[in-house]
Amino acid sequence: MVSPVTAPRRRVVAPYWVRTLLASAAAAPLLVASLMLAQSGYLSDTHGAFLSRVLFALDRGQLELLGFEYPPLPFLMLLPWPTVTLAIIFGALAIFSLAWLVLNDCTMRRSILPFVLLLGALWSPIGLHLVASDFNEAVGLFALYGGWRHYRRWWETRKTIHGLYTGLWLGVAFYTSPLGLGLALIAGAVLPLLFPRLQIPPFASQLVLLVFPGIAATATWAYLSWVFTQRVAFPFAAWEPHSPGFVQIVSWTVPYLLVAFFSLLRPKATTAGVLLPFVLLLGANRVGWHFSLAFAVVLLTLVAIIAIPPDLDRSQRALLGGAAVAQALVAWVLVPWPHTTTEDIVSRTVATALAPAPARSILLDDRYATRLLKWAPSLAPYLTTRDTGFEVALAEPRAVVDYVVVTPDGDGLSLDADVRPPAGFQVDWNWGGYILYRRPGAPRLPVRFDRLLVDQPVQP
Amino acid sequence: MSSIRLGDYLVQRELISSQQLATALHQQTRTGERLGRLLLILGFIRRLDLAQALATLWGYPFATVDAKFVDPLVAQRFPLDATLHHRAVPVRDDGHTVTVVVADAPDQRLRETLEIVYPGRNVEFRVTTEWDLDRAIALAHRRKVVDTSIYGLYFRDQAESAFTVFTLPQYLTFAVACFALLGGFYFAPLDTLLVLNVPITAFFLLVVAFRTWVGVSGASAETAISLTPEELAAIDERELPVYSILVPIYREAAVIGTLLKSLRELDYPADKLDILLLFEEDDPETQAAAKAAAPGANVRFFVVPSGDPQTKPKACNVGLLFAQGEYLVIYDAEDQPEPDQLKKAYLAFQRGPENLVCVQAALNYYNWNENFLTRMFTLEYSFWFDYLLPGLDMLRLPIPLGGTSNHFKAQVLRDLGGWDPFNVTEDADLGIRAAMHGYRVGIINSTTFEEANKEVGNWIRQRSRWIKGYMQTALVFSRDPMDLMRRVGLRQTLGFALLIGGTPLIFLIQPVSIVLTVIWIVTRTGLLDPIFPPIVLYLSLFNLLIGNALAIYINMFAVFKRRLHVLVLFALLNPFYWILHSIAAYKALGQLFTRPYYWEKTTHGLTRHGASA
Repeated sequence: MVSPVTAPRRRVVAPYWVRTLLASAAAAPLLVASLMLAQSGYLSDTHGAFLSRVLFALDRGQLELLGFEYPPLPFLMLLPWPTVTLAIIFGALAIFSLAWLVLNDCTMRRSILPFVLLLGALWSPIGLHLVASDFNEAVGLFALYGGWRHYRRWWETRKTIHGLYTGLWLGVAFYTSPLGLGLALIAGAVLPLLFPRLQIPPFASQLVLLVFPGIAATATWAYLSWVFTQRVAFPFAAWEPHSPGFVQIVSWTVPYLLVAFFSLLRPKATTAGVLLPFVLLLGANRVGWHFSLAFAVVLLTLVAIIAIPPDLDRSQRALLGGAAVAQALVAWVLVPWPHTTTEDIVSRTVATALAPAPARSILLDDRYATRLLKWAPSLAPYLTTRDTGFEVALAEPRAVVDYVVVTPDGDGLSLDADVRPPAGFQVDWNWGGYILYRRPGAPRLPVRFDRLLVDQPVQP
Repeated sequence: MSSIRLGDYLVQRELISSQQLATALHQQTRTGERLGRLLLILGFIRRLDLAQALATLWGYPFATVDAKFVDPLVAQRFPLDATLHHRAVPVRDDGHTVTVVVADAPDQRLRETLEIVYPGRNVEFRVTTEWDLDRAIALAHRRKVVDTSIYGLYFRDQAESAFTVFTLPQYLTFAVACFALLGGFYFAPLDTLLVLNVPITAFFLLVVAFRTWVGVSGASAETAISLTPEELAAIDERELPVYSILVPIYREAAVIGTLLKSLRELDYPADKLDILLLFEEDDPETQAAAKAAAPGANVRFFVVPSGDPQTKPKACNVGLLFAQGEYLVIYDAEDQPEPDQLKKAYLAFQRGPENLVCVQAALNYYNWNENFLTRMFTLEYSFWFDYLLPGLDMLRLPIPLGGTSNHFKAQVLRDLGGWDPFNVTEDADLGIRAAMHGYRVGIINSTTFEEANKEVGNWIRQRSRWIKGYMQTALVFSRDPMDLMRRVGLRQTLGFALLIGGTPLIFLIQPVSIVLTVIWIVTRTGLLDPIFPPIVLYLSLFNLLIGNALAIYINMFAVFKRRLHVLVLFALLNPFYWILHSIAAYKALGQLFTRPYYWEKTTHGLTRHGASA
């Protein structure tokens, strides 16, 4: 607007450098630990899956080969530089940004307690998961919290711009987790609690505004999948294989439980907002929207941060802070740290051995080769089910490829290749559950058995 | 000149009562306006009686002006600028004495100017009414008024006028492009389509990104504090300048009464309003309706001399010549401005930078809930005026003015050459021209409610005119792109290109995209694959899915901000509404070649909803 403008109300914030320093301090240990883990050979199944799909799409030059697997954001983020290092950096950046926002809240409330609660959740093997194993969840948590902050400002200031940002943030969150849509629904559902005299038309319109980005994202994904695969993909298959159960979540969210308890002692309409995300997590678990323990713990910790009653006395605050620290310490002892498995080392060794093969010269059923593909530095050598010519190669392998690989995950190739060599092929090696068949005349692809940190090669 | 004061004289002559004089004097302490004008505005005295009384007090004879009374040859020796500046018309010259009609007491500067133009003559002044003086000017300078209102900008700077639709280089570029395309289609049709598709897709993407960026910026503009009622209440009305309101009207007999009512409701001292109703010569019905609506004494009637093009900007230019206000605003016949608008504009000018030449109020519709078309139109206007224009303002990008409710510094507007009568979106053109000359256009948080088109045919006529005007504006300012960039910078040039050039282009391209998409969905043919290589395909899908979703979403918030909650879901129907835009765009393109200056008249007064709806 033209001149008629007076300065907007100033909000109290900590100096830029203080926030930068503290947010960096929150993220740096996770970044360092994750990079060290990667250096030692650790690659989570989730990051491995993201990378293998991105490598595949890049090698074939077709984005649709990402496979319309949900959520799409991590794939797109890794496109420029598909390495585990970038995944870790993104995870750390998301944690840094999340910490930055929480620090903002700290300065507004003039209390360091929210930051302590956040560190209690992050600085443990649980929090490490978000950087080392699934950066997508870290990005999702950041987007959800960003959405929440705008939602609160929308509620406080009634400025529609914050509603717009809320929706957009939740839309981004939905591209990392279907829980984004669930939380948008919750945000909409509690509107009448925030605006007691809200009538139906404005309530309905606000609900639409909150859920539209998620629904639009769903529709977009469904349409794209139909365009490229001729079937509609339902975007609710999560990358986490399973979710933590009720008891496990409760065990690792003590600060959240305390805040919920304190809130229940001061019952207000908005108290429902504290409890609903927990219910959402349990519900999501039931419908297959899987998430990790780290996601649940940090999400509920964020809810706790949002809902800390402002009138807590000193001892209650100390209790909360103490619970957060204690929880982190216990997690250090009880929760297993990410580590490299023997299967991973074997798969990495095999993937390295196969890497020099010419393009599309190795017939592989990628549906049963997750572990191998996650370690593949390039997907160029493989002829997979998503490539044109796979069916032809399957019918007459020797006419199309030089090698056939069978993985320990299953036969998959319908060639009985796990039983006998395909016609025209011979066993090149059989190691760690993997069998490489080679067409006579094709160059050998020797596997480096010494890569395995056990005394003897694994024999089938 | 008599020493008796006007008020006392009028009471003495029993033309007004003492009570009326007291009322007017009280009003004068509030607004500082001249007593005679106050008495007129308050309806206490007839214009004729006042003029005769002033003539007596000043010691000059009174005169009634008619065609026989004015000798145009004599009058035209006194330049039009001087005539308008001094509000004086020499009507007779017998070689010894020049007779000059005035409506105000002649001052020394007028005498000196007359001495220069008519050396050695005696000067005899005659007093007449303001209305008769305007009539005298119109009679005496008819040709000059017509020429100035039509060719003023063209003679000032041909490069800024849309009189020339295509310059020779533009024609040549267009012709070369056409031949290249035809040749391409003949020799390598698929490659040609691909070559076309790549820039089109990239351009779509740019427009999507640009409009989202500007829209979100505009949405965040509301976090800036706007002018408040308290600030308006604190205005000292004595400081307020005369404000001219130009209302170009053509065949609007049905709505003129409502317009005058809304103008009466403006929160601005009536004695400081200078309302000019600008009629066309071939429209006596609207004039009659206006007279029947009993306009106040601050309303002046002007009949715009006929002459092609018969467009709104030409009428506005005539109004600009005669406007007496320091500030000036345009309203359409069906407009219902919020009462606080003039004061807000005044405050904005007071507080704005020196180069602020215009402030634009928001436009919206009072019949928003009448039918599908009015709902969609309201969605569009809510986005345009509440998000897009404030966004352009925030980002310091050129602002294409809306059709009405643009408030100007009158003198700067004259310096800019007024409106281009050959451009059928003279308002958008003027906004860009102002930016070219280093001026700024701002936005104020006040709304004028209009009547949304409720009939498709009427809507397409109106929209085709708007899109044609955008095409004209794009052609005018792209004649020398380097000069444009040098004058306004790269950012503003890009903003101009994406908004003014981009809007018609998008609507022209859109049907092709829709047809291709539908063909593909129905047939899933592989024929289109060569023109959609992977990267083009992804960008196209991004435009289709994310671009449209973003546009719809931001539009939802625009109506939400207006508290038009019912319309939020209607935003989902925007793609159907955009098809209408494309129809209008093709009509506009045709007219650009066949009837570039033709003004597609929008019919108003069709709504069944009142202004308060």
